[in-house]
Amino acid sequence: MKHRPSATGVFTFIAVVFLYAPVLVVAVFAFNGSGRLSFPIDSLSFKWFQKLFADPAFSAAFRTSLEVATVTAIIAGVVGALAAFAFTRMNSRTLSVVEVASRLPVMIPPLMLGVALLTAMDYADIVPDLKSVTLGHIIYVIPFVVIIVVARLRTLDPEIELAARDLGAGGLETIRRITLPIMLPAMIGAGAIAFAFSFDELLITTFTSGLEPTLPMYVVSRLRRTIDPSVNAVAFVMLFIPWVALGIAYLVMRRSLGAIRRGAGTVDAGAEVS
Amino acid sequence: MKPSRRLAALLATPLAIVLLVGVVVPGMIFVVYSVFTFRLRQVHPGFTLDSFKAAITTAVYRTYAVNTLRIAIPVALITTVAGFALAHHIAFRAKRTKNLLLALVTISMLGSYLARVYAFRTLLGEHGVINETLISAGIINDPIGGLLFSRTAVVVAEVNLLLPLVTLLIYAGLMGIPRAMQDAGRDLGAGGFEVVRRVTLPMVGPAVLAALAFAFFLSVGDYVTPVLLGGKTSATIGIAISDQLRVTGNYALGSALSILTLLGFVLAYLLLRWSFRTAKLLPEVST
Repeated sequence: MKHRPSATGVFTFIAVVFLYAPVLVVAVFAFNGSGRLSFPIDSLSFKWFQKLFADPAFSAAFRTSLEVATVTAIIAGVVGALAAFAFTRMNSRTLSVVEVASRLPVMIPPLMLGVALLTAMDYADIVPDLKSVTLGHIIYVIPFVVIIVVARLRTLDPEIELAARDLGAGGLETIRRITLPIMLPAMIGAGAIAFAFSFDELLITTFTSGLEPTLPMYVVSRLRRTIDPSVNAVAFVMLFIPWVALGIAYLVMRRSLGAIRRGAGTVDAGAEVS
Repeated sequence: MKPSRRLAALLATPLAIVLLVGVVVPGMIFVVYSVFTFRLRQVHPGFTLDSFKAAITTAVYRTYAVNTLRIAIPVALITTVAGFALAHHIAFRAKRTKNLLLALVTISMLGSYLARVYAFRTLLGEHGVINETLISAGIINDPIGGLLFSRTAVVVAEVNLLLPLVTLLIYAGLMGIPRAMQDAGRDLGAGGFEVVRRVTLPMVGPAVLAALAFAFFLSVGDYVTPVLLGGKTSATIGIAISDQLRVTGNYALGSALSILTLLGFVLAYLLLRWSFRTAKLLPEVST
């Protein structure tokens, strides 16, 4: 019997095409040999990328964004993971207040977060620079980091840590050999998400940035002027870098999760033999 | 292992400081600014409701508010309906393609926001892909104007931006429904659509409400898409707020407009929740 596509199946197909067609079109035209935006494209070329990387404004913005995203990922990853550890291992009223507060930035539109930061800097006479940009990004990504690491730590039975203690491991050794290996994949994943979100952030950055534009701000300033096809190449870079970061994190996570599972497997097997 | 209370406090302190410095304190300063006076291009301490008065009585802000709603309401409705259909298909219909579809939706959500907005400019522009391709194919002679820089372009792009998130929110809700409930509905003689309406929807109501509210509020807060893709009728309240802060420097008015917008969110959410409750799409309140 021939498989007949269902109505919802057809709709799903259309929806996926709708989600991907625009970015795929941009990706294709980033490699277009001619300057005309018309299908079919006549030749493949890297000339728009060459033109782009020859533009000092692009290079500077690109470097700025990489720096800000890296610092954001490291600080948000460490700060969020430390707190997530406390949230899942300790009970106190203050801690639950902080945990609830850590979700605030998702519930406030980025526009308002940016506006509030700008107002506060005006009040305190702080001149916006890359530090304020990074602070804005850390705030934006920290809820995701906390949620991801907390979710991971909650899957770990605290009894395992107690068992390690009973077997004679000290507090630090337990953290190093049990807790950290379990947290690490989540920290890497959360860090990659923080990097990706920071690299693309614009709604807060508009308000917190000083004289050094990030890559999204460079794109917006280019879009306000006349557009030439090299913007397709910028869009390709913007699309590509976060996806690569997330892809690497995904592979690392899968490998280390696999290693933990295999490790657990050998323990089980050993128990069976004895 | 039971870390001491002091250790726990030490671990959570950096996060608490970040939240205080980055959200709580700026938020308070921002609220206070809304009652300050704006004179000689500067904000001065004091107490006045002038900014709120200006925000409410100035006709142009009412136009902006209407524009905002005319973008955000269609965006929220379309993404929620489409997201529900998509999530429902992924959760219950797609068998072999389920993981692929979930991955595609997630990857799309994590794809660059700005690249996707820009993509619509490449597609819809006067010399964009659609026009140029149609012209070189000989279907049209002159570019179709008005594809870009219109409210429709903004709505289409924002649906594209928000659909993945909304789909995943509803999908998470759908996964919480015991499969047996739907089977029971079908056994009792309900058709496919009736099962969705009378069994699935009421159980996934909270997730749908959350998705709808999220889409609405992210659309209202997005002041970049309307600038890059919208025309004269797409000036939104977000653009007004951003201009007050970045161009005019009237922090007081910008902050009053923001507070009114946030109040609008709360009202809109309560209204939505009330209508969901009236339509019996939320579980009964147990308390």
